[in-house]
Amino acid sequence: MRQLYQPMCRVLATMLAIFCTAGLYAQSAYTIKGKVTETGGNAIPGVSVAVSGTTQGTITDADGNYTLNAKLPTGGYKLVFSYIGYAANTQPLELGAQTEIVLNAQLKEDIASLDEVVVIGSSINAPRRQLGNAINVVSAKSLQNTGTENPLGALQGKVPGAQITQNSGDPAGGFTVRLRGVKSLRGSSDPLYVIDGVIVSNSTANVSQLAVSAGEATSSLGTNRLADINPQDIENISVLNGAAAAAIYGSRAANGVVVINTKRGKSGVPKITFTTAVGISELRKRVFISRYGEQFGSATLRLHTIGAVSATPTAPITSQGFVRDGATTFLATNKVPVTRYDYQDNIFQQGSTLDNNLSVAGGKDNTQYYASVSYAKNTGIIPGTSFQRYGLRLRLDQRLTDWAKISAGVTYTNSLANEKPNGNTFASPINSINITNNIYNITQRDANGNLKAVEPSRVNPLTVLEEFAITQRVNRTINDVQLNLTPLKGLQLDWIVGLDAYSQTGKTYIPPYPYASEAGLPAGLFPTGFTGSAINSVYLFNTDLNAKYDWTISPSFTLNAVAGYNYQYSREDFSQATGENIAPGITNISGATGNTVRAFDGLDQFSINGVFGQATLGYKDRRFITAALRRDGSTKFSPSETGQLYPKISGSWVVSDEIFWQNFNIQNIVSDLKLRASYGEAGNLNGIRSYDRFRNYNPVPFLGRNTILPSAQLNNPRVRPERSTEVEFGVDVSFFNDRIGLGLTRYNQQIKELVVNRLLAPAASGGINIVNNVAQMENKGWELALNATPVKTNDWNWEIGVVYSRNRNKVTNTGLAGNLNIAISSALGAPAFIVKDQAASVFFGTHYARKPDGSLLLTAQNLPQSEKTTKDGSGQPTGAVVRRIIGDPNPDYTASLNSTLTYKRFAFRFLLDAVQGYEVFNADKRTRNNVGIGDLAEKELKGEIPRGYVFALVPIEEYRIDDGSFVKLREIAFTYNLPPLVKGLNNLSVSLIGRNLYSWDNYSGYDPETNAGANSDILRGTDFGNVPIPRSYQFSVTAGF
Amino acid sequence: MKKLTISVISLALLLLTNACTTEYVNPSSGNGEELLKDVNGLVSLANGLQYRYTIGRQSPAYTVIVAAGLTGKELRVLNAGNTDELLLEQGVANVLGNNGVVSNLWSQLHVTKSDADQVLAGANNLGDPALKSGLIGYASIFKALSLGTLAQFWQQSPVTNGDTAQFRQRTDLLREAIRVLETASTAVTANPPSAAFTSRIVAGVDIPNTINALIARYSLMLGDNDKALAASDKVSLAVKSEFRFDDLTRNPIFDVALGNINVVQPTNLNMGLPDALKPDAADKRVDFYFLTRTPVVPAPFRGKGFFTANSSPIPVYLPGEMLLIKAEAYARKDDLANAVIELNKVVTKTTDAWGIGAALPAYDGTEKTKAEVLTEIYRNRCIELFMSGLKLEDNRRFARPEPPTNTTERSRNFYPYPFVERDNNPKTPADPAI
Repeated sequence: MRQLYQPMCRVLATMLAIFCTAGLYAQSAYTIKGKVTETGGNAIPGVSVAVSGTTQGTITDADGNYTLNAKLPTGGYKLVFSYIGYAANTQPLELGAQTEIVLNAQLKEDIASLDEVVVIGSSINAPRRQLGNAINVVSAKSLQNTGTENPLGALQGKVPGAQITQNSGDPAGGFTVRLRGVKSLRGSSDPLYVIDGVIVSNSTANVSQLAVSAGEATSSLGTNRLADINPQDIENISVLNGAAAAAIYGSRAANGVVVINTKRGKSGVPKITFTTAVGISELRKRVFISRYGEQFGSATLRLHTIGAVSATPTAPITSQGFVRDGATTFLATNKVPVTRYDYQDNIFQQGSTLDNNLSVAGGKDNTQYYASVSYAKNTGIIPGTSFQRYGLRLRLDQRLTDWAKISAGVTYTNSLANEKPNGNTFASPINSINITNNIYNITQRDANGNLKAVEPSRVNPLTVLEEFAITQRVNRTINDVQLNLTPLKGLQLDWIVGLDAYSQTGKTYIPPYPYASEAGLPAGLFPTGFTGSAINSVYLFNTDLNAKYDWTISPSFTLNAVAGYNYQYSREDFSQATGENIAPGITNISGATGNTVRAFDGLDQFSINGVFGQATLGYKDRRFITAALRRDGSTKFSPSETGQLYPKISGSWVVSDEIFWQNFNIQNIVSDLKLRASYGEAGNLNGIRSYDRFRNYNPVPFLGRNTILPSAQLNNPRVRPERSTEVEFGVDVSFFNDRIGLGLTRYNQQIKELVVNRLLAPAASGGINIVNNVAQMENKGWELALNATPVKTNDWNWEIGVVYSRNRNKVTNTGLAGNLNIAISSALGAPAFIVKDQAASVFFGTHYARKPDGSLLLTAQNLPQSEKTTKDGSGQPTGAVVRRIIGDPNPDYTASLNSTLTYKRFAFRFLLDAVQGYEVFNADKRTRNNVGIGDLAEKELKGEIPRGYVFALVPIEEYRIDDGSFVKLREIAFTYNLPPLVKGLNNLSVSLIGRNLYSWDNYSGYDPETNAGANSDILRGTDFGNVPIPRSYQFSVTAGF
Repeated sequence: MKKLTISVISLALLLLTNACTTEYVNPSSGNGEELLKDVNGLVSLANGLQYRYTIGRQSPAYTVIVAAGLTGKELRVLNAGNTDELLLEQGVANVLGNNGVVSNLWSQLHVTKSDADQVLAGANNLGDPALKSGLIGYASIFKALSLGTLAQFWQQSPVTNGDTAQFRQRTDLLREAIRVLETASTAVTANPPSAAFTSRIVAGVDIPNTINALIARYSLMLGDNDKALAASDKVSLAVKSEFRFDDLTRNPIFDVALGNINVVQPTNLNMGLPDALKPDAADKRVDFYFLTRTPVVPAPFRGKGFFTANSSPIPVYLPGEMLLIKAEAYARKDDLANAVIELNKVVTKTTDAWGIGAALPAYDGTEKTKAEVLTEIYRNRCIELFMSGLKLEDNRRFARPEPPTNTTERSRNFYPYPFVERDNNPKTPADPAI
């Protein structure tokens, strides 16, 4: 492969050299200036003013004025004024003898924004009218006053086609973003994130939750690292939902691409903005915990609702036999008095939030800068949990010559998360109260002040809060340098170098339990204490070289051509050490006894080389056709698989600009109409680990002797990227002079060559599995975005927006022999499976036996039971227990409604966010009832349901399926812009903000928006000791100087 | 201008040079081809055989003892959340090819065997005869254990890997196991493994004694009583051969099961025997295998035996097994006098290399029929070799009551073939009826 690549590399380098030295042509200096205003006459700051086809450009200052000093050859040009949310305005610019030119422009707010310029690739932009696919842009305005310091949280409910879920209410909890459904069965479905041309990592490496053991393979615990980005620095976010839009990003684009542009400086006097927000957060809803003062059997009978006792128990215990699935178990029937507590009183607190930002932006003609410093701290509703982040940012734009400019961005972030075990272990704060019978006073201490044991083999919940110390510190820097050259008219050359480097240091400390032997704590809870420390050093580098050429072929035809080369390198260096039996007073790995220390070191490296070309042919600025092709090679695949090709073709037709349309005389009703269609292919590498094509021979520690364990996963040199093919149709239409804008998109994604761990016949192969491209699935769906401005007067402005997305995911081939189901392992016992012709994943499990009318078919003892293969003579189920699909964690649809009402200086905004038609596997429900502290347990004690009811439900998995559908009041904000108070203070506004204040749902747990599989894309909709998402209130002040 | 141009070009060239790397090597993984050619690599891989066989819940060391124990009524499941174990305990039609314990047993034994074949192939190319013999002896033990254990739970299995490999009867597996062991025995006798080998291999398994003990075990299963007698005679009863563990690589039975009260524990003090055969009240072996004879709520009878700590070693075979092999072989050859003599060595011993001693009065063999003597041998096997993983095979060999008509002593005869095999290997034979 070296032979093939080296010439290519050389060609590219030469290309760059030629372009750099190319053409300096006759030119004169011009000064172009003017003012940009809104339709109402208000000045618009920050408007980009650019001479089309050159790099000459500037930005309007705070008063809407601009001055552009340009050195250009004489001739006809176009001056383009553009700003997010406004239709771009293009004015002819004739450069001749007159060197000072005044050009004012007026921009119209445009919801459909056919002329809005959006990002479609690294350094590649296009006006919406040219696009054959939907690209959604979220502006800075929508990311303000959201009540969250996480950029993904701020995006919730704002992007058509995106389902954004907060997986945990922990301050350091993660978010899952899925654009148009699940994309991979083995890897992440997380989109590719690009910030100012830098490919950044949003991965979740677990460095802090080290004391979790078996069953964790599927869960993806921890913070996903976009948490390091400060939303206040973001100017806008463009979301490319699928392969059709993202094909030129190649092998990593099948999950979609999220392009984030950060704020830049504007010429003019330095503009200082200070924002501070303080707030509180609290538990939104408690779950039912029984305080009923009785239990079955005796006070020492564990799991009193289901715990077996003898058929002939000693008095006072009495028992009765209960038949379940053919076996008889004796349960206690007598009751004894106990005192019950609600441990929710002990493990929840009021949290607090603080978010401070200071930015300075300004610049002169050739230099603009933006600098910011930020600090955010979020203290959780579980004592001892918090997330804080310091950030520094600098963006510098410098014009070097009249044909070259350079832009550089530097970001540094430092974050610290204080965590508690987050689900998946019975030592997490929430699980410890679910799994412990609440008849113990957990606040009691012995003479030494140590907390006392509770139920045998359980951890005192307060031990978790007071003694466990779990931290994660991240140092991160994201930097970019971009060079834009315009050596010839119409030709632009962009070169981007980006790097994202960070280190995560995680530490876990569980001290030895003072009551370990008294409580008989099992090894999995680390009775002698546990420490762990892990470091993950990540380095991502990318460089992009793009050449663009705009050519007006004839008055009717234009051609925009782009050719590019792209190189990406990723290095992830992870090392970890854990140990047990901790020396007194030592809180880190140094205190572990040597014979328990385990160490691990892993290095993951890969690179991608891609070349691409794209051409857009335009006819009269209303009909466009775009074709693109990308070719990728990567070290993740063998040389034989390196030439991965990703084609794309798309077209758009601005019908409303056609002559015949204008003759219809309906422009008053339909102001703009655009039809679009697109086809594209893209790849996904997330499912392929860097060394999957080899059989790995892994060293293992074994009694002090060199030991190598060959992996049971055999080698497969033919591993290649998963491939997504997408067809998309859509229409963008605006009505009544753009008062109403509607975008509608229909897409069909066929994902082939999905990677699965295909099981092998062990006897035949001598191995257990192999990574193979064999599965297939599809995503089909609709996206709708509706924006309207029903009221717009001088004093009043009312904007309303609706987003609706519906996706149907279907696995058409599970990749296993005979299309067998793939079980997804989980620590919480969720029966999650990949099943042919179902969404990935679904809950496939045991269910209630029912009568034809749907009511429960009860046993002779009037208890619910599992459905079995057949019925016996008396109509009772018999034979083996059968399973079916009992729930689907993929929603039928997601929708949101946002509204902003402005009256003079007041603004009121809210966002309702709905996820409807999905199921949650609520593991905690059964745990609480089995332990005897849940609602059914209390009913059984009170005799409202028969004795043995909870016991009967234990093996019926359908019982743990809950409807998760919810509508949340995601955001609400009242803002008042104060009138100018003192000179120099340009604006001052105060806001009251609420987040997640209310949820309309029928969920019996804390919050249906949760996932015990954390950021896993395959194990979804599972609730197992997760920290609920709090509701929070904030008071924020923004001052501009 | 020139400055800019030059610096841009040099930087671009610098960056693009790096872009031409096409392969990254995993520093945390060895290269298979090289390891199999290198003596240190082969020794490391040989240690890997024991690791795979003994470490973790998926390892045969766990699955053999738990599967045989649950099917043979030695063990019971405490927490129904351990679904695979629970279904095994329920037995009969509840045991399907998707049972995790059953699949692990099959898969890990086959992978161990396949890896052992690689080590054996690599060892044959070595020059140093004393290193070579050590590797052959050690790898042959794991190959034989894999084949012999497969024969205890399944009616058929391939003997070699490969898509074309045919399923063979379990007797063929046992014969192959014995053949491999005999070859190893010759190699080890001719060139005793050198210190260069023993200092690098995981300590614990005594190669010569284990080879003979396993020849004796599998010969008895095959019904080759003479060979069983001859081989067991060669085993030194004073030597312990064991799988060792520590806090990192833990005794899997202690780690998963006996160290807590959540997975499996012994059913009761009868050790899975029917009332008629239950241990004598004075049998000290009950105290060896149980924490206490007094039932304690909620897990009435907690096991002890070789599973008391992370680092408790598990015997590869017990001295008592050798004596009982002799007793059984004599009995089956109708030499009841010698059978009773060997049996009584077990019944009356107060201790042995492992500290096991029934310390009972001698069994009175006078006027006893062959069947009665064999039943007493069976009873003593079940007590002496409690939780050794041999229960299912013993129960079948002694023709104890058979499921599905009678599930009091065992709930399966053989296991069904795991779905992973059936789904991916068309040669997989039909499952046994029960």
